[in-house]
Amino acid sequence: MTKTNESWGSRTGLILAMAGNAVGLGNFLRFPVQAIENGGGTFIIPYLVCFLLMGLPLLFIEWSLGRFGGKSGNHSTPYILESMGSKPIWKYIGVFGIFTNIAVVAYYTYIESWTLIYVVHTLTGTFSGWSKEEISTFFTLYVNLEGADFGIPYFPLLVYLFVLGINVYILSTGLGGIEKVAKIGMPLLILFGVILAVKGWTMGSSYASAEFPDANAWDGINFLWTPQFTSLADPKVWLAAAGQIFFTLSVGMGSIQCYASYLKANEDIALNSMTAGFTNEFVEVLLGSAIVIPIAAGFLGLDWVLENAGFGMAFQTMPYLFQQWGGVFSVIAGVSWFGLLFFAGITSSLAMGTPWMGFMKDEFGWSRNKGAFSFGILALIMGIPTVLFYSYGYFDEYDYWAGTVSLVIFALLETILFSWIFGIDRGWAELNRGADIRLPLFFKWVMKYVTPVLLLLVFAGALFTPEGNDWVGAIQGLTEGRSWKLDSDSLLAKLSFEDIYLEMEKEPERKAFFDLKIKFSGWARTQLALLFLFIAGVVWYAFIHRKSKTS
Amino acid sequence: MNTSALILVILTQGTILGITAYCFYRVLKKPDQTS
Repeated sequence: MTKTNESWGSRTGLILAMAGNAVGLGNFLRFPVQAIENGGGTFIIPYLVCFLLMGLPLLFIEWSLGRFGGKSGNHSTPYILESMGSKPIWKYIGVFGIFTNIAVVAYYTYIESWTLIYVVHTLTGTFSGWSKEEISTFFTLYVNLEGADFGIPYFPLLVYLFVLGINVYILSTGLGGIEKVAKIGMPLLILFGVILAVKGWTMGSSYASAEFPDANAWDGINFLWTPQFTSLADPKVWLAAAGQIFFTLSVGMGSIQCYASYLKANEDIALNSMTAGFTNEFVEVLLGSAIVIPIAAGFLGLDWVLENAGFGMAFQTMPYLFQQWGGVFSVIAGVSWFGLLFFAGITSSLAMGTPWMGFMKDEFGWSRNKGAFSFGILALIMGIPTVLFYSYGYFDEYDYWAGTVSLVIFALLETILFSWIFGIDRGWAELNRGADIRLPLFFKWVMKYVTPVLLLLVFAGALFTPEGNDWVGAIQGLTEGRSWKLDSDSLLAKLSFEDIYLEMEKEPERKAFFDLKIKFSGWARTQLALLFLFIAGVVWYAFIHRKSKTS
Repeated sequence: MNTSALILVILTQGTILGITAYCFYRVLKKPDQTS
């Protein structure tokens, strides 16, 4: 094993890098949409409960795992987990902590490339005078590689390569470079977010148009924040809130453990992890809730928002809305929006590069350049098909299996390891060593019993999602002797492509397309499985390498 | 803005903002904590 002397330059740099890792596109796109789909103001109550019972405890666990592993020179999850679990199997479970990052970065940098090129299009005035439909079509053509921006065919592919190259370059500069990006990117992201949030809170009904005479930003704000207590009894709302907390904090990835492994043995993790976690919540709840929904409601009305809320709004609707402000502010708003999404994206994708680089440095003494370059090659091999076959669901398969399912499985296993195998008493002592704040004992109990149960529920919720996501109806049906019908979006149904077959049933005239979609989805899964096996093979080889060095 | 929404906004956003600010205050009091 090779010793590394890399460490964080400053405490603020570490916190901003950790917060940057957590703050991602989901803070601005997923959170408001989840809130809208789950009863508006009701959603925030289970959301905050889940933050306390699952989010913060998971942050504590992952920071503790990382610092513990770092003490013995391990900077990625295979050997961090083995050093805590004392059984060889843990290093193969730790493979998730490298696998997920490479698989996610492969498609995540593609979204990052969209945000960057939309900044350029905003500055060059591409969208000026375009209708909502024209802007929406532009995005569809772009992601399907059917357009030719600036007259260059396959332009999105070139931008993707460029953005991946930026990531590789920054990674090759080590923790110092990552810290610098976080120190510049995070304040700018917050500044851009505040500019747009102030507009969201103050635009009111002054932008109602002849087409949408009832448009009013306050309707969006009221919907997001008015509690409807009856929805609190709906398991669907709780599962959605738990899912959102889980995904917003970037837990279950392996990147937090890697960042924390560069801390010194007695450096605080209790206060640092809380600060990073609450910074993410600040960005998500205060800024994320005040941009997309209020601004869209202010121009298009709440009814339109309720019908159309989704990921596409970021690229298909927002550029049109910014144009309606006219003048310089439309450019400022566009640059702020896509700029903040770019910084949110890049601070997260950089974190995804470090577990692979840390592992190769620890085990084989690879330099930063070699580590970063090899990471870029792996990301490229995984990423090119997501760009080329985006419309055939390659991207969605990666997002579901690597960016969703893997995270929950890994988080559940590491929580069991920390609280039950390593032991909560030792774990609690590890967390509190060198702590700058006294954590309430309540969290010790929560980490042992509540967090694993909540994670199990999130996993079971994904596995057995009932038809129409109607948990109340499905549970009632069970008590009345009816069978449990799975939704086509449940994990079990997705295994046999039921979601795609359902789409095919609705549009039988597009059968040829859906047949291809099933084929490409299968390839995407195979590619993910091969990546996992490849990393497991590298871990096994590292094990042999370690053994040969000690004997 | 209706009253119940206003109360929820003040409670949640105020708490998150307050705790985040307090955490940063504690961090900045000891910016180079290593032992």
